[in-house]
Amino acid sequence: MKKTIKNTVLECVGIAVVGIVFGLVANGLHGRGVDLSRDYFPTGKIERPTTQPDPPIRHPGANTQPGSDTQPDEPPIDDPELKKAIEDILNDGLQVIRHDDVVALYQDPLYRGGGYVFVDARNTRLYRAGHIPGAYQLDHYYIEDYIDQVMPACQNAFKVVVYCSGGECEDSRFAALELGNRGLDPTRIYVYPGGMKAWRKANLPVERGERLSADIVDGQSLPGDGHE
Amino acid sequence: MLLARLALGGLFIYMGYNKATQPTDFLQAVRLYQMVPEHPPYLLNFIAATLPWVEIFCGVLLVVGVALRGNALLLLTMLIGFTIGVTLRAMEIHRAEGTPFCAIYFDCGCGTGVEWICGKIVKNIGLCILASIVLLSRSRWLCLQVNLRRR
Repeated sequence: MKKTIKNTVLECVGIAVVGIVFGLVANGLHGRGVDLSRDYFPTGKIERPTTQPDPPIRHPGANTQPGSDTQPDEPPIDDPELKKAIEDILNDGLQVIRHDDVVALYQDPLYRGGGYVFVDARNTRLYRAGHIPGAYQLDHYYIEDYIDQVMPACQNAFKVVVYCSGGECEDSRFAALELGNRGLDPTRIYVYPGGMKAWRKANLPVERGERLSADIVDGQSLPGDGHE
Repeated sequence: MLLARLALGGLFIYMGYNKATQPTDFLQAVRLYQMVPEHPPYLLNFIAATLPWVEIFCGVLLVVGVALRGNALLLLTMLIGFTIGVTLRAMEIHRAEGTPFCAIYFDCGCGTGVEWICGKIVKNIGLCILASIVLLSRSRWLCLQVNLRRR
């Protein structure tokens, strides 16, 4: 009996070791496997240059400490998920842009001319299901697939708005940090915490498929809420 | 015993495949459990990279009938760990959001999509019973190899 238990445990350990080796090999051979050394969830790395003034843009009311750049007329944020997301964004040294300002940028002629760039940080399935018209995709988990196309557009823009699904989604924050860490001026980067959820709730236009596919529909006409 | 083996093995192959084909989704799910440190990222990435393939490997061994006892013990250990992890995560959501425990409906990163937590716990207990049957059974019908030790 003792021998059986011992052998079973040894067999179990052996299978685990072989399974792990198999897993490492399979992950390495998998074209989109996990990079073991990469920090997929960067945090708090953006340092905003002190010589440059804060950009003239309003922040939502999550950061209400004295001396913050929150405007006094900002409505309070009731959604705890959104409030937490905004706090995380500000803690990482990033800037938050509110929904009305995103809409204003979208409607500005400069947006069509590349003066403002929107970056969608969701995966390909969600991006193709519907994104803000003209937004570039930047799935930060596979950043090398996108960065060569997105970075030049961002470097030529006055403002770069990064968004994901909205609420508890953190991909916009991570994508914004990646852009900042790769040399994009952080004073130009804004994270839109409302994301696709807020955009679609406002029934704003949504583009399906590839960027500039011209397949544009109303936000509320799409199924789902832009989340997984 | 054969049915338990095939059901458990098939399910692990299915769940492992779903995770292995969406590795970054699984990485995000593992991160949400906050059981391993995020920084430095090596351990978190290692778990996300290997666990789905270990599940597939074990599932295949179980289906073809190789090293059944050791395999069943490994699956039972993993299932107990997963069940504890999922329960703790659901309790955290319950505390944070005030949602009744059994009304929690979320993607636990198990490879089976979004599920009700109480249903998930019951399913996992069922799988633990299947793994225990394989572990304790002496039947080796339709096994490719009776036992690795006899090689």
